[in-house]
Amino acid sequence: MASETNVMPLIQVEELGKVYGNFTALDRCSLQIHAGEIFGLLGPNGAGKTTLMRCLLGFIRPTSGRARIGGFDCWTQRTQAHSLLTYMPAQPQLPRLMRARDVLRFFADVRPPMPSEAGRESTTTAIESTTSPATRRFERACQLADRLQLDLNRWVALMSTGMRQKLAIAATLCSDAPLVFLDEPTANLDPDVRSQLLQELDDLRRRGTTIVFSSHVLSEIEQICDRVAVLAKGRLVGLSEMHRLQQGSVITGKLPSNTKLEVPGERIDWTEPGRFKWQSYRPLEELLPSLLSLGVSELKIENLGLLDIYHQHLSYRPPDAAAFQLKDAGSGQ
Amino acid sequence: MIGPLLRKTWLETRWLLGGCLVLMCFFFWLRVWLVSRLDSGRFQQILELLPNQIRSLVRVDFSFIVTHTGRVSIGFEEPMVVLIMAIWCISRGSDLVSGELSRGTMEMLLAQPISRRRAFFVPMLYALAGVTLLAMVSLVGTWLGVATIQANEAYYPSIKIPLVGTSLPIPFAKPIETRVPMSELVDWRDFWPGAVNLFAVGVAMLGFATVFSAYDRFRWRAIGGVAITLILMSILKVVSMSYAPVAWLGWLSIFSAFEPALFISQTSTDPNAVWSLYFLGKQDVLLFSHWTYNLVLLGLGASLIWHSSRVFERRDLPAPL
Repeated sequence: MASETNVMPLIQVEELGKVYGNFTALDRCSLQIHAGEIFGLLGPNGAGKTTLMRCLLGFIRPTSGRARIGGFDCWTQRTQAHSLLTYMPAQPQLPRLMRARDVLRFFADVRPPMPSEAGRESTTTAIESTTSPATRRFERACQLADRLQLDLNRWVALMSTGMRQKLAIAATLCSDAPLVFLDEPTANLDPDVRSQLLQELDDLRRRGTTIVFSSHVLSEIEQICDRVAVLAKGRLVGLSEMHRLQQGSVITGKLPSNTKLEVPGERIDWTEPGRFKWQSYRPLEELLPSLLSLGVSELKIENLGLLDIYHQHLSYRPPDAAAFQLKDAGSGQ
Repeated sequence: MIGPLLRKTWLETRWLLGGCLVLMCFFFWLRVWLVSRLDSGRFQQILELLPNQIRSLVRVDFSFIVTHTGRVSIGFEEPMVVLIMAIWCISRGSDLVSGELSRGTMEMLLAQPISRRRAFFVPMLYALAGVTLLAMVSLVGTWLGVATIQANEAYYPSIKIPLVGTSLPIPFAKPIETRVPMSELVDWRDFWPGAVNLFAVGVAMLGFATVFSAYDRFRWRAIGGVAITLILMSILKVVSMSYAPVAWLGWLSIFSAFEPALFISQTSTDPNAVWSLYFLGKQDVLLFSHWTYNLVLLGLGASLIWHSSRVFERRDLPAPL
């Protein structure tokens, strides 16, 4: 029983769907995200990434299915679920008639102390315990803003888009919430600040924070995510561990006539008679002996990049999504 | 969590609130100053020139209007007063949901462990506090005017009739102009029913603004909707008062229950009207007191606010465009 409790996912999404009139924004999406993971959401515009995030955040009521965060239903118990998370939208908007410092003060003060913070308070030294969790959050936010070179005395209304994004990052990451949702967090950032943010996320990962990260920048996803889900037209069309995806390879070659190559669950394209292109996630040491035994010639093996995988998922949509779902060794799904 | 939300609302709206309060206070001071410029006799002459159609739009006795108290009380019905209150109510009510949604600030706010009910009612309490302050400031402005301004009063010299012990004014003599402190002519405490009525109509306007805001995602549309509604209700009131066969239209307007000058006149002339819900007027006609009208307005405003909160709690929050 104890081990079952330990592996209980932080986020559980079961057959989640959202329909607007005739338009299906999210179609029976199921996934689990475990504590400590950095989970990437990929997909073209309108694929359903933001709808999925907004369902998880309790902003929109799912038409079907359910989603839970830390055991709390994302719609009916959203306030409890929100105590476990923090969120930065794709285009963060903050109160314009406030100074940056006041904004950070607000986001630091508005959260009740986390159980972990309350526990920590009792074990801190006498000097540290005089500062409240809100004050500590505020100080943390100020330090982060300082690292992001943000002027805290400036009015939000007078800030550029990038500066507002930095302020939103500081306001979001100052909390000690165990779960962070980031919707395209690097969209308006210059390269220096972008790498600074990725560094901050790496620090969060080391502290055991779970991060759900949506981005169009595949290199970022590749760099920091442990698992990645690909959505297309509201459906979850791919879900796998990043290291497993990085193991993927494109194998091309020529087979003697009358030789068939069929692998269940894998995609093999025949470019011309006898010539094949096979995208596989199986270990090469397992594949090569079999291929060589079939008498393959002109063999060429290339690494499969995330962009190829992304395109592959978007172009290949079988009627039964379950048959397509990549085997996910780590999560036990 | 209430403190940070209140502080945020204050930081966002302090200039608007301050501006409205100063303007309201100044307007009432100005009203007292204007009243002090014109003595009662001259004002009565002006009133007598008014055509009957205009007179039918005034529910207050003319004998009350010609007094200094009556003329100051008309200030509560001035379009400027209603406009200031409407600016505050519409701006705050429309901002509650559709304003935050259209600006995109709602998302980061509601991603915090704040229930939607709390995110709704804390700024709403602040908006109600603003309505209360505006109503109170109307009294403060009046008090300031009464305390600082002297009125022009003209009276005819009189002759004392021996033995009878009475005086008779000499009508053909030149009137004597004097300056009398307004505090000798007007007691600012008489105007509290006007301030209460102003508060009640403010709550009702806030309720309407909040309903439009709760259903919509665009603030401009919520503002347009509530502004058109309030203008229509003003027109309905005027039409219902000027044409008897359609007097029932008055029931469709919140402004039919906004009669501060009437309520001030009732409470200052009839002690029975001060605290009861109804009282016997002239010729033993049963009349509703200002409390009844205020309770109707407050009840309507409260129901609209409650309904808006329910809508907000259950609705989807669309992504900002």
